[in-house]
Amino acid sequence: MTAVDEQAAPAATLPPKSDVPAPVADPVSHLTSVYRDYPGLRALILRRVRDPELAADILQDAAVTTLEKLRSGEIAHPENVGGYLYRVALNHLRNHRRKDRTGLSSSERLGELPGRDDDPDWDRVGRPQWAAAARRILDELPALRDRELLLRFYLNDEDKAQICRELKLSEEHFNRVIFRARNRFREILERRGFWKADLLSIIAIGICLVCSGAAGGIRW
Amino acid sequence: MVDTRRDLDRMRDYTAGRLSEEERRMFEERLVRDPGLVREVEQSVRFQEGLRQLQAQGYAGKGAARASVRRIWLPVAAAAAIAALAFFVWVQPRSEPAGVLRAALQSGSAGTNTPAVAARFTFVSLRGNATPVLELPAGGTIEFRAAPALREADSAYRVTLTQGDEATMTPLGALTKLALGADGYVHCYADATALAPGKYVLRIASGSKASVSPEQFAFTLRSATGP
Repeated sequence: MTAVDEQAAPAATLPPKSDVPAPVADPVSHLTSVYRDYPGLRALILRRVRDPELAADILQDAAVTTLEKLRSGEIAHPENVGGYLYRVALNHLRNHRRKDRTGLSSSERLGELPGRDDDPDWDRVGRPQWAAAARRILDELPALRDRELLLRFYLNDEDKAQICRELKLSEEHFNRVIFRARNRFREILERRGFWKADLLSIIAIGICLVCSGAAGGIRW
Repeated sequence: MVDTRRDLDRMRDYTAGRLSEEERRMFEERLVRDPGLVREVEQSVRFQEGLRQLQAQGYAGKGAARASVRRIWLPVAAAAAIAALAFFVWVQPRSEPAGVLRAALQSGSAGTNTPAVAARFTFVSLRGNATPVLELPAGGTIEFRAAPALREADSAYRVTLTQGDEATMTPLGALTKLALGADGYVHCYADATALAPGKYVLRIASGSKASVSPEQFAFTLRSATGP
């Protein structure tokens, strides 16, 4: 569980040794602040595996790998450790899927079935707050066509060109609506304090990091 | 620097795992260098999840419906409603059990202490070409649970079961207008005695999105008592 994932950050992509920054002074607190700022990553893994336990395992492995790289100074841009965390976590997810080739389970594995959308883990990552912000944005949109645009792009996963064609929109209009919505979304969450929310999780993570830091283990 | 025109699709495809190996590596190279891009990816995930929760609560679906209805001229809407009703009446019999497949457990089997199904098989698309070998129970009901390529609460799905390989494919049953379950799977059932040991393919397609390729799950059934 603590093995460094070379594929996540291939040695060939690292800068020359002379350019490698010194290890960050306090990698644990550095990483804790990253978790605080990226609950979406946790939601993303949870969505992809639909199993809170498995999602926690994948994130823990990603955290350990990233922490090791931080400590050893392998991360070229420590100020952007969130990017490494995304890369490592999604790489661990891919590795997990490569190993799990069964494709289906029999009745003996019913206990391992994926979780549901009403799992409390969804609440813990902050999804109710995101939903409230998204609802407010949809309600505020003056044009119903713009609301449809957002739903089709983000929910139905439809192609941008197809949406523009069917709604008779220019690409500029499409981009404008998307980015206004995204900015508004961020603004609402920041104002309500949800952007840096989940203080209990932060405290829990911090305690886990401190307790298991020496062993290189982090439990989400 | 985030490129608004290009990165919207890239971010969505990255988080959905749809980029090619090369595209993914290039995107991740940018991701570890550009804090702005990480924030935007994070933002996308949160917004998308927020919308998904709204959809689960029924809100987003109502919003989309409202958006569409406004554009429709009233007489056209009335005509469409009549046509939809006629279509529903015409199509409805097709949603009844077809062939060996059933859309629901037979009455009497559910809600009792007796196990409702003899075996449950869950199909999820994963990497790898291994064809699983499953044990065919001697009797009772088999429950199939399949994850569609696109999970939409409002979609109607079509499930077909065929026996044999590509050359000797025999249709055994088909169900339409199946809904996505709360667990994210589409469910259907078959009587174990209607199936024999051999090769099978279960297909699941979205009735509302023809552009999405159906998922195909090949599997082999073997006798519980024999090889």
